[in-house]
Amino acid sequence: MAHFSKYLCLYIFIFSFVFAVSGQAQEFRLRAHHIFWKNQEAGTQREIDFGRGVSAKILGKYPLLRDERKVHYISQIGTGISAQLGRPELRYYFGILDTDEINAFAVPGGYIFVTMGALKLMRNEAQLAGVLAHELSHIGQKHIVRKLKLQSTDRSLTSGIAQVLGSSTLAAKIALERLNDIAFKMLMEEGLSKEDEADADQKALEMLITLGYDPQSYLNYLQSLKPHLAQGGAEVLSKTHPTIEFRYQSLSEFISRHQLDKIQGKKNEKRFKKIMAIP
Amino acid sequence: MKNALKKLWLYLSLLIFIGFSTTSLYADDAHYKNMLIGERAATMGGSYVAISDDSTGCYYNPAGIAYAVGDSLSGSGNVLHKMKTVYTEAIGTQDWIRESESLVPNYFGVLKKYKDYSFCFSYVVPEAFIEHQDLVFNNPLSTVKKYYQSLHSEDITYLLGPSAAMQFGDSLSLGLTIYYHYRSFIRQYHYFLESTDGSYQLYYGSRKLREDGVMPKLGIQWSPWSMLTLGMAVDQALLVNSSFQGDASYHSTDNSTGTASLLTTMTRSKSETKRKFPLHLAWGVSYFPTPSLLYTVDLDYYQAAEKGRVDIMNYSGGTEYYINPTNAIRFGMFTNYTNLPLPDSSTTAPYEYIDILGASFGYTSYSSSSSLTVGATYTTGSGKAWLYSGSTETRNMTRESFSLLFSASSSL
Repeated sequence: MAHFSKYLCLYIFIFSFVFAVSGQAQEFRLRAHHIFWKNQEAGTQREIDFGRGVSAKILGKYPLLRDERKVHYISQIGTGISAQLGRPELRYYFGILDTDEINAFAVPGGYIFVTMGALKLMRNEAQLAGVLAHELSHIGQKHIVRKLKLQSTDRSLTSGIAQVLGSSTLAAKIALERLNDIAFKMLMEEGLSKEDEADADQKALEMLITLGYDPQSYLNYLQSLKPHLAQGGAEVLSKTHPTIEFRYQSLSEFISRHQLDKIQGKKNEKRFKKIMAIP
Repeated sequence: MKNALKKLWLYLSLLIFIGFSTTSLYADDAHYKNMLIGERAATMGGSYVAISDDSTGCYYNPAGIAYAVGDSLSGSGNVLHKMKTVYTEAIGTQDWIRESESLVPNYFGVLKKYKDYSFCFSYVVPEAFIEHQDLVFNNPLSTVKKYYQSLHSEDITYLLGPSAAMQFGDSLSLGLTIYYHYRSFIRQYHYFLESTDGSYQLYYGSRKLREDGVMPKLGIQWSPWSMLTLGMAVDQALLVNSSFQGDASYHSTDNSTGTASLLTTMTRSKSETKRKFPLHLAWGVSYFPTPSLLYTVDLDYYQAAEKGRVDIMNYSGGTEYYINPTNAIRFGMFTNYTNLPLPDSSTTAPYEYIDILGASFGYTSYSSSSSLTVGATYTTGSGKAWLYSGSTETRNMTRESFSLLFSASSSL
């Protein structure tokens, strides 16, 4: 043993250089949680890239309002709500679409748009917060992502769509363009399922209550949509969302089930009207 | 008959005192694996030489940190470390029970990667014994009315220092850790013995020891085939300072002749003798069949550097299994053999011969940037103890320990 320890350094030196050229890369060392979270990160990036393309299509249809004060205001309200979503990996962007059509859109990756028509219909900040919370819930719950199967955490189950988003070939770019069209069509014509919309409404209500907003204001906003839907002032909304009756009924049951009917909160009507320049 | 019994208890009490005070200079220097370090490592029986790919690797095998996935910060604490040693019928017919309980955070490490290089700074507490005892034995012998002893002892070893590792190609890495070794030991012991005839003994002693030194650790890791890693590490602590001071005062009365005689002594002793640590060689093999499963085995060889010690080999093995991608469980077993030679008929006190076996278990929950581990280690062993100085008389002894582990890591 004394002999061994005396020449230990020499043995290590020889060992190192004899075997340095052989052996295997260390990918196999990655543990299940490394691979899982790596895929999650890649999935998030795919979602952001995809959302950017879909947002471009929306902005091709509707012009973006260049009113810094209003945009800053809804960004502040929206960012406050987004902190409750549990998706800190995303950065959220809020925009106002300069159209009288009444609607709001949530695009994967953290892009939220509200139309000027919807803002004009609102009566207070609680209603604005309700609409933003509803749209943010779609992102938080990954409703569109799941419907399009954009994400996969297991390599063996990776969908063709996810592969398209991870590739830079011409074929992949064409496929991505096609995918953007499908998502755009979903937002403008087909909409999400009734269950997803009801889920987003309920989540929105929960977030409003947590933030101290008046939950009834959101229900009032839904009610105020009724005549406009009947008159065709919210054509896209009427195609892509369940009926107001269904949403109102669903929320009322939720409120009753959780005994939320006595909760009152802030409306911030004055501030809303001042910034939105509503007389 | 009365005088014979009197002599017996005086003899026993004095021998208990001498034996106890001699062995207690080191809490347990006969075993090398009293506390397991780290989160994954500790919950796999301390078998980590061929893995070591996080900051805990600085302690087990610094070469492994070259394969760390990213920068990280980790810390762990033995939430509770309890040890219980029972000497059967050590005082008359009564057992002598020694209990140690500590709450010492035993690991902290920060790891930073830069290209093919990895750097780490770690703090390790490989040994921590904290013992507080107040024992009263009423009528342990027919002539002994009361025997009371009070013991307060703390013996903690700290390692602190930097590590660096470098990759050579895809499959080979070398690493070096240089630890500053610091050990602080303090012990206060008091006993009172009262006989039925009114005579008594009083003893008070205190001991202090400080050790400073360095412990370089050199490691290598190699992956000859996919899914298999081999590791080797060598270390030896060298003391540059060791200062001991012991103070004792003893007072007794003896009524055996019918006239009370008094004896009072006070002594102080100092020493700068540096103990020699063994050369430690560790070998490990790990097999990674899937990202959710691994097996690992280590051999730890200690080459004795002092007289009265023998070379020993400890064995450990463990497995890690992911229930799902964010939750993992681990299990491990290990040996903690004594470095004392086998006793024979000439063996006299103080001497304890006990081999220990241990098992560990742990659970880790992973988030995207952090992990949280809870685990437990249990050890048990039985052997013989020579308690009475100069005597070949033995007592059966058992030792059990239980540690609760709590650990957290975060990527930087």
